[in-house]
Amino acid sequence: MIYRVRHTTSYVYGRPVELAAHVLHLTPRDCPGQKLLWTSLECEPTPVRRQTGTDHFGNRIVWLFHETPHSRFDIVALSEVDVQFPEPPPVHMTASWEEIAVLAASDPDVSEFLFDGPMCAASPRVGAYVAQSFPPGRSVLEGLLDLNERVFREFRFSSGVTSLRTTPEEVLERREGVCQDFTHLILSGLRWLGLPARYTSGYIRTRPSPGQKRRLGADVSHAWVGVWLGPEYGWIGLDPTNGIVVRNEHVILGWGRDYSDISPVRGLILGGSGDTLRVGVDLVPVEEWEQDPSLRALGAFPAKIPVD
Amino acid sequence: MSGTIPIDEMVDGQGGVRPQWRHLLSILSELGHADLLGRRQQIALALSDQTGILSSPSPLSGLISADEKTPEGPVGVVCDPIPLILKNEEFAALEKGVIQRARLLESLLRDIYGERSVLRDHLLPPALVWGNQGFLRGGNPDGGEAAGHFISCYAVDLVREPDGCWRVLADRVDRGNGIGLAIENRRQMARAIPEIFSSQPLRRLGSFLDRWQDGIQRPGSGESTNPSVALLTPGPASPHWGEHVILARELGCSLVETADLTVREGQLWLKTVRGLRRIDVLFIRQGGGSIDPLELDSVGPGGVSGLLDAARSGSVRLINDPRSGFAEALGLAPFLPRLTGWFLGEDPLLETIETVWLGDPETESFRERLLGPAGEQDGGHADRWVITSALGSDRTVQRLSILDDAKKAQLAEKVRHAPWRYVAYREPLASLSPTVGESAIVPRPIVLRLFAIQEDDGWTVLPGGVARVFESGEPVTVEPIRVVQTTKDVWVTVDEHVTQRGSSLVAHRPLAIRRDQADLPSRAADDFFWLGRYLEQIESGARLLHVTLAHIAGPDPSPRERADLEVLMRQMQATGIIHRVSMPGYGMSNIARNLAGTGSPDGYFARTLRKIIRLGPELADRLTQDVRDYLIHRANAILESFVRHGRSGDPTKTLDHLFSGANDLLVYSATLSGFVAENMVRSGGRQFLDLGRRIERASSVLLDCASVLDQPDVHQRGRMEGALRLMLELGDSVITYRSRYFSVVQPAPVLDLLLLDEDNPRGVGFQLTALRDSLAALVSDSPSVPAAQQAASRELAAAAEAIRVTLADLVNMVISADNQDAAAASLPAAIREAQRAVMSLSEQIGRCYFSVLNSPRLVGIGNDATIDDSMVGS
Repeated sequence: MIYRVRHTTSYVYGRPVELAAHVLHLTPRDCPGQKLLWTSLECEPTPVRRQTGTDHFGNRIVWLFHETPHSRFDIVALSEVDVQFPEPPPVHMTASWEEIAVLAASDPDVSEFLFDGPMCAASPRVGAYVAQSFPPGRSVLEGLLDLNERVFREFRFSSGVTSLRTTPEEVLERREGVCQDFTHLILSGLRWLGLPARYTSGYIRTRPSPGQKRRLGADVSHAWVGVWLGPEYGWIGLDPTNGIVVRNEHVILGWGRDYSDISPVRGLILGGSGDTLRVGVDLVPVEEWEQDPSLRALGAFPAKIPVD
Repeated sequence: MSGTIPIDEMVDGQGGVRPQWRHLLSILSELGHADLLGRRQQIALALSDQTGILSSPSPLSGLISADEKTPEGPVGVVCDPIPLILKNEEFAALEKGVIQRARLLESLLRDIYGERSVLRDHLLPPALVWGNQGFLRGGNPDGGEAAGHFISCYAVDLVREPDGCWRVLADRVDRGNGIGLAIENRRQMARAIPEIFSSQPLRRLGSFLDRWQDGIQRPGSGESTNPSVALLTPGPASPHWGEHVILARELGCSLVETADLTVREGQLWLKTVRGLRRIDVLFIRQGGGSIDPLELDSVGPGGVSGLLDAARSGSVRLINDPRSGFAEALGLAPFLPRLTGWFLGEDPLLETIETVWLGDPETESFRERLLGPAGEQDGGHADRWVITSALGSDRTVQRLSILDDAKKAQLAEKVRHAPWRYVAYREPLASLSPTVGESAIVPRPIVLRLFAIQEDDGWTVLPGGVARVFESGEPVTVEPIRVVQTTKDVWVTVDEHVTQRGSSLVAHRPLAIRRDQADLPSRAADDFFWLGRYLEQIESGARLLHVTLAHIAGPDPSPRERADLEVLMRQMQATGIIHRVSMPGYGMSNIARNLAGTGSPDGYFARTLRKIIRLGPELADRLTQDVRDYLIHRANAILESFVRHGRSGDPTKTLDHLFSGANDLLVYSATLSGFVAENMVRSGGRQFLDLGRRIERASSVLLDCASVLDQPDVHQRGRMEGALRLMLELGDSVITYRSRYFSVVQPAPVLDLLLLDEDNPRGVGFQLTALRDSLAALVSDSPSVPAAQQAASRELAAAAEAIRVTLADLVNMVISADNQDAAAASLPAAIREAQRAVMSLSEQIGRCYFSVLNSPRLVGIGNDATIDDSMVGS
């Protein structure tokens, strides 16, 4: 499936920002099951310095540096991505979770995702919750699918009740939150058990309700868990917010140990105050995009901020 | 390991003194113990002067507070007068080992941040890489990053164990403090105890330093042919501040804090009073993980945003690469021997002290024996095992021998859950070296720190170092140097067959010509400006007090004396020298009582002196030693005598003490002015110190004049004459006036002298002219100063001139008035207005040059809930 994704970020600052430096994770990366076809990233005002590269995890990043006072900051990232993540193997084909833990511990790359990130520490309480899905000897995929299903069923999606500072233990307590909360929860528990897991940042396709017109910019950034099934099957994505395995409705931006490794727009600004931020995402199959006049009218720039 | 008795560096175990110590020992015994103690104190004081760190914790007393462990001993940096002597051949062996170790760590870092073949080939467990706190996850720009060394400056702690073998206790890569101390110890030793240097020829440190400096100054990949260097310190609160001050001076570079730096257009700049100055090489003396908030794991806004981007592009060289901290993790130790073979194809020359990584499943039974209940484990030596982090920066140690069962069980649980986080090492029995104790020379355990630097053509080891002295029975640990620790100079002997000339004959590459590019950082300019203001506050306050005391006329003053005293007391109150006039009347005893609070520890002068003393360390690297000495020590002495004599029941005594105190303060201020005029180059710090003084003096003369003219009946001839005389006294211009006008006192000439005359250094006209010219000159002579800064500077000069013109109008109005007395009496409001304009000028100078910017904010990682909640939605 080929998607076009347009991600707009607009800051309006109460007072002018004098100096700003940003690291952007807004360009989808290549990985098994996903290929970036083309991409563009534009911003206003024009930065004094712009540098592209990859971060430690191999995700695409863009550095932007601004040095003249400005009261607005708009970024539009537009990409086309071909995604078709393979179907996971039958559950009985994957090794037991204990074997996977041993394999992961000695794998030169996978082992990194056994360790805590700055925002999300492995927790015994969350570990105990997650462990219920992993009785001794159970195939790792069986356990993971069970866990994904449990979180989907037992936790309520509720925005506004948590923030990025909410810990996995608090989420476990409240039984509600948003996608990054469920993701952090599962990361924390799996790592406690010695299973590797990575925070995956990206987008999920949404469809307008039947009879409704598509609202521009109504999609959002999304997050889910990357889990490892051993050297043979590699990584797959589990989306606990929707209780599904990632196949062809998701687009990956990149991954890290937790949110802080892969924050879409991380910056350091001098000045400003009373800032407001608007984010808009459109993730639509290319053919559909080309047939929708309002999407076609969007173009790359300037950022058209969706009206709520 | 053989034996459990530590080696003695001086005696050979058979009762004999090792040959390299013999001569030194005989010189020491000739000196005698009391003399040695004196020398130690002398060195300690010299060291604290060098670093600006006060040798006494309280500015109110030169004595050491009572709760110090050794009340007679020096506090702060202490250098034992007896050096540690290393024989030439012994050092040569260590040198090879240190270089090999440094090469190994450099190769390891290159691999870890590159291919990570150590993981693919299972030479290092993943936990020690991914969990390593020094492993920094920075970005990689397309097109690759500028090539450079990871480690340019390496320090290593070594202990000699009972088998006679030196082993590595810890590698210091992230910061590697101590080279400055090694150099300064040697210098102070040579001054304080020159006799012992005749005992034998030893390797000198100078050529190492030259070579280092030369290497740092070597042009980088940038176009700059004369690189400018800065040393980044966490600031005077850092325990290593003294080291940073010394090192910055030795390397001839600016000492800066993160707030002084900014990255623009991918280059690093120092914020100076002349605008931004490019920095080509940055010595980093703060933790690598907090160096760039834009990347890395840091969650706070500390550090310099964009610094890593600048470094990767090659526009600035970082020493060391902040990522080098990886190599400090103690968990690496057990794997280094194999890595030496893998990377270098060599056998390791230096061992590490016995260290076990507890994450290795094969060490489980060992771990259980260690952490189990106390008993007979391990042949009785289990109590020397220590547990600490395997992963880096946190070097807190848990000595198993001193843990009670409950604490041990707690630790065991933590370790069992994540054994990979921990190492156990066997506490070494460090060798003993003779040290000056309180009553005799005593053997004390020592840890030797050696230093190596890397240039393009290889590594060089400092032929010397720092030895840290531990208390008898105190364990030597891997923890960093403590704030207060005795150190030793380290001597490397010269082989008798090779003369000292031999070493100086080593051919050096020609040194690059260096030019001091010491542009004053804005922060330092701010400090100098305030130093100037405080000094002038002291002076004008002391003069006011002095004049007041001179006016005290006995028990029953005349109406005229009374009027003068009233003005003076009012002015003292306005200045804050006295709080309130508690006893009405102007008899001597009442005045004495009203003035008694002046000398109190929280009085005006004490507070101002303390502010001056507090600036001392901040400015330590920019003042000559004479100025620093006087600035701090003399201020301390005056404070002390103030406090001692301040309150006395006898009014005559009180007044006497205040009189001599006021004199001391006037001399203090005048002496410093002299020192500054003779010792400091005109530009830079001194210019701002002058600006501060000019501002403050203009303000205080204006206030004095306004205050004196602001009294009832002043328009009457008799009263006006008294007021004008008082004005001249306060303005220290009596003699100048008399030489021009003899004894006739009239308003116009007095006001002209005090407010307008550009030649009277005590008058306002002089101050404003000087301010105007100084502000105009501040930036005009440099083509690289940004236009905005130049314009702002010209504006400030114009503001100073405007105040001067206003005053000229006032004085001219008095000159041309029919009744000068009446005209002068109408001036106070206008003069106060001018004083406010001077204060506003001061604020504008602050805004223009000291640019106190708001601190930056980190967005996008959850610090700002309202923003971030909308970042991720579903």
